[in-house]
Amino acid sequence: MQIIINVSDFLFALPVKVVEKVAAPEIVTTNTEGTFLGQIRINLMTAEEFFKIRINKNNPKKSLILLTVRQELPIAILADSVYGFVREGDLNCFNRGELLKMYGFEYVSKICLYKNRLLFFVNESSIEKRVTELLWE
Amino acid sequence: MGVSRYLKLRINSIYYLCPEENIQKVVTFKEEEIHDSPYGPDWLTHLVVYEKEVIPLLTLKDDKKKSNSKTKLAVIIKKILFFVAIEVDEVLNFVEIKNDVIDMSLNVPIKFAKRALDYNGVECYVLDIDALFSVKE
Repeated sequence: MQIIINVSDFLFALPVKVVEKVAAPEIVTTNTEGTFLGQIRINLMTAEEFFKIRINKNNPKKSLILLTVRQELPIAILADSVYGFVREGDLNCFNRGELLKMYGFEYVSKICLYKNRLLFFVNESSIEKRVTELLWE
Repeated sequence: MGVSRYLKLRINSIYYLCPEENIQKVVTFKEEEIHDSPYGPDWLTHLVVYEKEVIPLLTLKDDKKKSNSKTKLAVIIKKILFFVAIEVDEVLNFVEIKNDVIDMSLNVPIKFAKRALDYNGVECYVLDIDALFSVKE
């Protein structure tokens, strides 16, 4: 099962199992020591930053949903909304493999057409890779 | 010396020649079939689905000259197993040009073109197919 999030009008699908919870961003507190979700210190960033996507449009409403990636991946990403859920097997995938990697789709493992919109899949290993990158930055 | 066939295309007011061997199809895309791209170099702003694959839609058109048309004319260009769509204003005719004319033509610093030549009094640019399939310009 994949959760679909809306990020600057792009749809990204990520495995439900990497997501700890979905919540409103108001529950995040910041103090001099950083950003906290309850008692847990987290890295908070926008989904655009997390997925390193190009922002085509001005998107002033930032964002209403906080998606926390699981405990061993201490990061929370701000998306615009949760678009829905989908089973990967229910979609026809349109892979461009090598070509899309060449064009810089480094975290996208496959692309599907979903309700006449492109759905960019990010798999678990890509998320782990990205979190590791961020932790070492 | 042999002769090669090229398809003559017009983009804005510039005429391009595309080698026949790289032409897959001339198609039109409806507005709703054209998707923004979250990744890629600056010139790769759109993606389209062609034959169940997501491929880049390249546009060389000036922002000021972009049409408001609901459909866009495009030529699908292939290189081995990869495809790229390029938005054009007009598809003209096939022309035959001697290979030595191409070989002796001038290198030009034009985006996605590598050589310029005079064909029946009209300046034409030979599309650089390799550049279309890479991130170089």
